[in-house]
This record gives sequence, C-alpha cells and structure tokens, in this order.
Amino acid sequence: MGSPVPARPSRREGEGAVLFVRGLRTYFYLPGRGRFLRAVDGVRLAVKQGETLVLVGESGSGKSVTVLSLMGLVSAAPGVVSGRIWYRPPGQEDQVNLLEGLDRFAKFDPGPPVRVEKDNRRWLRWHEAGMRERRGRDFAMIFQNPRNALHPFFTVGQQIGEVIRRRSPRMSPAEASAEAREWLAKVHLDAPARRLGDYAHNLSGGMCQRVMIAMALAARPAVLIADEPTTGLDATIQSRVLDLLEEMKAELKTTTIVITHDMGVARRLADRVAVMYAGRVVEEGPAKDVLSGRYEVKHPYTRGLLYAIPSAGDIREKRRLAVIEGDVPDLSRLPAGCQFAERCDLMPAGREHLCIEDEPGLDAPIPGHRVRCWRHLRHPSEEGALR
Amino acid sequence: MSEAAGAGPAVEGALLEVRDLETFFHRRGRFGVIRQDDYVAAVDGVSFSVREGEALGIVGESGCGKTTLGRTILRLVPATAGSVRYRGEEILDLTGRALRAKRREMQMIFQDLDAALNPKMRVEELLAEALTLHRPAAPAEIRRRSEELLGLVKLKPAKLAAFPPELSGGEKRRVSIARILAVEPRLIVADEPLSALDVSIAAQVANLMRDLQESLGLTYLFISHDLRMVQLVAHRVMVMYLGQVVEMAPARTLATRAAHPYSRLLWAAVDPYTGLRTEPKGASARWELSEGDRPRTGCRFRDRCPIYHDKGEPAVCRDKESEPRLAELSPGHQVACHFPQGS
Repeated sequence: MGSPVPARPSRREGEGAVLFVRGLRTYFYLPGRGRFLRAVDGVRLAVKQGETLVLVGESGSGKSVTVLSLMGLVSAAPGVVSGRIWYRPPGQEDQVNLLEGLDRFAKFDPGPPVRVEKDNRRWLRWHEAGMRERRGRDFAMIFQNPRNALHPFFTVGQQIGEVIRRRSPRMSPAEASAEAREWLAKVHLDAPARRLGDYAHNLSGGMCQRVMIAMALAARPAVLIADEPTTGLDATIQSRVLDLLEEMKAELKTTTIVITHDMGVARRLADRVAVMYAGRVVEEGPAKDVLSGRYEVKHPYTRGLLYAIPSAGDIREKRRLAVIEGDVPDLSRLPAGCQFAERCDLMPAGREHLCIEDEPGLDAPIPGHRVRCWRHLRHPSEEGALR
Repeated sequence: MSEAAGAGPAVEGALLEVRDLETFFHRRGRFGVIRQDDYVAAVDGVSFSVREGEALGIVGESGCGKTTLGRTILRLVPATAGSVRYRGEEILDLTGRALRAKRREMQMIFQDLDAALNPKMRVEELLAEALTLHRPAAPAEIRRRSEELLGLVKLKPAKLAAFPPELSGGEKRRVSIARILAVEPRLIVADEPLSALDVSIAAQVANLMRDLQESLGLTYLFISHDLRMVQLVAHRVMVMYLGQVVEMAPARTLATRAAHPYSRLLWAAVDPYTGLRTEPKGASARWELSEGDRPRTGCRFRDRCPIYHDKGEPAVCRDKESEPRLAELSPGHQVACHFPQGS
C-alpha cells in the first residue's frame, strides 16, 4: 500500500494499452461514522486496443465506482483521491493522464489512519473542463437501467442524432437522422424508421437497451463502457443483447469495458477478466484462464463466484450449491490482512497467519495472470520457491 | 377455456388445487367504465395442483402471467373465473375472518426487498409485528421466537437492532423470509426471491430455501425467470407463456428433455456451461412480442416458434379449433404443443 505512483507508465506495462489505470483510489466520507468508505482502493487495470475487459464482482466490490471515476462522474466528496489514468487518444502516440492535476487539489496519506485533504469543488470544476469533451465521444457508456438512461422528452431519433452530430459536427440533421436509422437497424430493431419517432416509454426494456447500445456505438467511442448491460432483462432478451454485443465487437472492434456480476456474461464477452472484491482487483488475466474452474492459479473468491452458478451436473443431481458464506466486508472498516480472509476456506496450510496479518499484492505467479492471494505468492519473509 | 383444459383427475392429497383459473385485467373507457370486450388475459385458464411439501417452480418471461397467477391464488388480485382449492376448500369465495385465517397459512415472498420491509422499523419490530399478528404473545416470548426465527434464516441475533437500510440485500431477503415464517405458513408463494441478489448471495438464499422446505415441510410456488435456480429448488416446473401453461414436468425431466419449443428456447438462453447462449438457429428474428402482436387464435407461441416455421406454418398451429392443450407425454410430463420435441 502507498507505493509512489510513477509519473509515466513504465514502457512495458503501458504498451499497447488504450487505457491504463494505476493506483486508483476513490473514497467517500461517512460523516456519521467519522470514517472513509474505501470504495475503490488501489485499482490497477489495463485495456488494450480492440480488447474487451470484463470487471466481475458482487455489489459493493467497487466495479461501478471504478468506471464512474474513469468517466469523471464521481461527485461525492472526497471522491478520487489518488491514482493515474493513462489514456491514449486514437491516432496518437502519447498518453494523457485523465487525472492530471489531482495532486494539486488532493493530499492523500494512506495511513493508517487514512488522511485526505481535498478541495473537491475546485477539483471537480477543473476535471470537468477536461472530461466534458471526452465523455460521449472518446468514452461512451451503456447504463444499467436503460429506461432511466434515455431522456423521456426526446425521441430516440433526436437522442441518437445528437450523438452523431457531436461526433461529426458538419453533418446535416437529415444525414444524422439517416445514420441514426442505420444504427437502429444494426441493433435489430423492427421498423427502425418508425422507431426514430418513439420515446423511451414507447419501448420495452429490451428495446431501450438496444437503443442505448446504438447510441453509445454511434459516437464511435475509443472506449465503450457497459455497466451491467443485461441485468433486469428476461433470459431470452439477455441472450439476444449478448449476441448483439458480440456481433458489434466483431464488426467494430471497439475497445470495451463490461461490468457484470454474472460469470455467464463474462464468458460470452471477455478477452480479459478482472475480478474485484472490496475495492481491489483480486485476480486479472486471460478470460479462459480466470473463468475456468480447473485452472491452477485461482483466487478463492473467483472460485466461489464460479461455483455459485448451478452447473448442469448440479441441476441433474439437485446438489446444494457450494456458496461463499458471509457477506462483503464493511468498506469503511477493512481488516489489516487479506480482505477476503474472513470468508475464505482455502487459506494456505501452515501460512494462514499471512492472510490475517498482511495483505498480498496483486502479482503474477505466471506471466499475464495476476492474483492477490498468498496461496500463489511468496511473502517477503519466506525463503525459497512456493510449493 | 373449456373444461377439457383442466384435464386429469383431482390429485389425491393435494394441498393446493387450481382449476381453469382466469385473471383478466379490463381496460377502462371513459368515466372509468370497465370495457368488457377489451382486456388482457394475464392468466388464461391455468390448472395445476401441488402436494404438501412439494416445490413447484413457475417460469416464463416477464408478462407471461406468473406473478399474477401467484397473486390471484393468494387473493391479492381478484380472479375472473375458475377455482382455487386449499386443502379441498374453495378459497376464492372466502371473505372476512375465514379469509384472514387462510392467509396465515398462505404467505408471499415479494420481489421488491425494499418495499417489503418498512425502513423505519427495526428488525426486532418487524418480526414482533408478524409474530403478534394472529395471536398475542408476551414480550419475552416474542424475543425468544424472534431469535429463533433469525436462527432459522441463519442471521445473528445482533441483527435484531438493525434497520433494513443497514442490511445487505441477502440479509434483507433473510429477514423477509423470517417474517413470513413467523406466522407459520404452510404454503409460500415466492415471487422472484433471488432476482435482486448477487450470484453468490442468490446461491446462499437458494440453499436456505431448500433447507427450510425440508426441515419445516413447506410447500412452495417458486416463481422465477431464472431456470437454473428454479431447477435447483423446485421438484416440478411449470412453464408459462402468455397466460397459459405450455409445459409441466419434473425438474430433472425439463432439464434434459424439454418438449415444448418455448421451454427449449428458455433453456438455450441460460445454458449453465456456456453461460447465456443464443436461441437456436431458425427461431424467428423477433425479439419480443407486444400486446397487439399476440395471436388471437391457435397456438400463441407460433410467431416465435422454430418448428412452426420449419414445417411451413401448418394450419393446425393457426386454427382456432385446434389450439394446443396440455396433454400427457409421459407420466408427470405434460405439454401443450402439436409437435412436441424428442417424442
């Protein structure tokens, strides 16, 4: 904890990444308890061009706050307190830090005790000036509740048209409208020409979700962010929305970050998966390795999430589900050691004290696959190789 | 629906018997006058029975009438026609005290967690309210029973002092179940009890519901759109489409040998191994049907049915006279389709 963040991403790590997040911390102050809620606590992520990264985790794991921080949409105090978000705009060599200037507004001491001094109002004004142009153009977002995310007083055509004209200001309204119709056809809406005149309340949940997707893609963003794109939809519609996202991924090759708590969604869409727990990334690697229950390197939490979905065998035999007992920890009162230790039943034999006393870092026991678990990592106090 | 729809003799020893149940929602015209000819048939001739200690799963997409069916059985929504017998007694005719007495035995787990628990009452008060609803009790007795109830749903007694907003989703769901158990019901209608929960928490609650059923001998109507969880909790599963039952089978049979194309489509959408998967090729490209698109005659599923399209839109699927009715495919396995699969 509290390692100094380098001013530039190291050549090796940042290479090829459209987005490279390091040491991101987003806290909220709880006046009633006089403590900070550490929603995002040292997150590290990298997304390569054209790649789909899926963030999985339960509610309260910090995945939504991570992307809201990325978009500059966290307004509660103190909000983002430290970190770097390196972004490489399309067609450019150099990376820019989206959190440029944060150090001037925020003093952060990881403690203990945690100390934050931040002029949040001035920071937000400063940050907003830089981010306003990027949102909806460089970064587009598909929100969880599509019906609420669409404007109730503007037609579908007006809303998509606005996005298109922001992207290409010289386009005439008629051209924008024609393109909007094309996007609606692309997301398989029936009678797209007629739908242009519809309002959100005329559409079903699945249709709203497709309009949202069309709108986000119409911006031709450098990074598309989808927050729980299938939650709240019927199973058959969920499946169709995933088909559509897969199709769009193949066709447009948009760099995408998907947030979900459903491992099934991750299986369908992910190139890489990052599993989050208690504001941290606890495992990150290629989708097929992270999502395989049999793979050697595995955080116990990831394992628990995988087993919480009934398998065909579970259903056939009507087995009880192997569940992770307990609940997510109180983010304002995190324990000293591994955040998952309380619920973990796979602590390494003879080395359990490590889990209780010291939090493991996110490290790679094998290249490209990082995990935050003492089962796979060696503590500085230990000699020799693991296993 | 004609009487033939309720085929099959009355089941011996059934706790709940539903016959030809219909729930229509009429549209209102000017001055709020009910328009007799303009209605939505949310439940359209449903018949089934549940034995004591059995868990019946009810699945289908939103709008298929599964929630309305549960609500009609508990008399929360007036039935249009049909019969609901509980231990042989017709409950659609009950009023006043007799209805209240029956309500104690038949409880509902509501979908919306935050609406189900008053945020300004402590867990202790919420449980006490339920405990004293049907009979008075001394404070010490209430306290003892409250702790016992929390134990049943595997919560610590310390949670008695908490307010609902302080609880996590899984804890709220447990409290809502404890509150229902307080009145010692025999039949529980659980409306999407897992839908608002995270995967790992949903798995915990699914296990809990199974344990409670076994230890307390409860009877469940388990309403959900998540086929995987339904299969795990329920003994038998009923698949509904546009207000009607299209298939009814033991959970295991439905998992391996679903016969109705709609059941198969639901299954394909949530394959447990690959996660969510697409509908089988050949299915219609339509995403969803709106109210106006519902076929008025013949098989209601035909517009989305791959078989109907493969077979060149046969008349038997369209004709009013040959609307498919539930028929036995094998013992305990009924399906309403002219071309059941795998037979």
